Amino acid sequence: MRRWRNPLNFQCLRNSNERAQEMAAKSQATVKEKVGKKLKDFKVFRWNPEKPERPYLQSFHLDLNQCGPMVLDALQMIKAEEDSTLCFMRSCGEGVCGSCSMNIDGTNTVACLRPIDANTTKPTIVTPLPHMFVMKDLVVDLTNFYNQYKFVEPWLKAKKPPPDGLEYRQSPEERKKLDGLYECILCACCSASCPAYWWNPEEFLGPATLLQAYRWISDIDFKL
Amino acid sequence: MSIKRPLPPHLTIYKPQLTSTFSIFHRISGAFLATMVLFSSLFCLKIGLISFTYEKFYQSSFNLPKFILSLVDLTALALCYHISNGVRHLFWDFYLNLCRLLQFHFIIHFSAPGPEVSLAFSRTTNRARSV
Repeated sequence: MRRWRNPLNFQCLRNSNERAQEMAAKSQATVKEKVGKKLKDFKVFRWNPEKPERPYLQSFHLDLNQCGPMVLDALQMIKAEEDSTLCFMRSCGEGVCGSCSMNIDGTNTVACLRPIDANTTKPTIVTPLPHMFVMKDLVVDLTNFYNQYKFVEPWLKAKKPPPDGLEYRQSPEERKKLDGLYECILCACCSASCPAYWWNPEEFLGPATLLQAYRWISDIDFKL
Repeated sequence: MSIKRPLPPHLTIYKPQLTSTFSIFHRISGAFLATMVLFSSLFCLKIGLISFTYEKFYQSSFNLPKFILSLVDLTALALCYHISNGVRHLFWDFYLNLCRLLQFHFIIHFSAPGPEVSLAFSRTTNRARSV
């Protein structure tokens, strides 16, 4: 492996302009630093309700070596270092709360669980959940979504008191019926990706709500 | 303050998935087949009026490049796709082990129109006289 020599010690430069030598050495050091950076372009959807302009995609360049692995880390770094007016929802950072749901590179996910695509030749495009009214930047209005969830009455409805008078017992078979249903974190990613929900959000309840309705139907209260 | 909230992009940015592609093509082929079913009899009755009287139309249908699919070919393709997708849909709805069978169904689904495509192709090359 070739060892890089300090340009200040080059034989031919020793007798020439010292100032030029210093500048050359300095620029070589910064070039090495700049080459070490891995810049990734993030195109983020921006819209401010207080400014009378149309929404646009703003480009941010981030050094991936300084940033955490997930897209949420990138958004937080943008907010901390480049533009603190960037607005997005986040809470747990580990994919259990459903706050940071948005559209990343064409797919709806929670930003805290989506790794940044390390390919720096293509930009990552971050937009809010499709076809949901934008309140600011990446925050959307989920009022309709939550009202639809309330509409299916997602709680246990007991018609009779418990058989032994103390508690409703759940067998392992009954618990197994909830697998695949109880894990829903109500992030609204599925509903916001459904074209039927895009065109008819008032009439169609959406996949998330329907799944939860089924979850409560297949729970023990249905047998009671 | 009455500011109209914008809608973020949906169709323009959303990445197409296997299930969504199947679904929209099922709808398109279904709509196409419905129009064909309703209007094919009318079309067959009335096409003679145009092609046998209007000479230029008849000549142009003769001189068209041979690889352009006729309406019959398109209808048959749409029917093949619609039926195979319908069967796939029923299968996926009633059998829960999707992940393992996904590739299997993918292959079956796209090989179903195979005979029709090859027939259409052979018909285009041998088309010498009439459609």
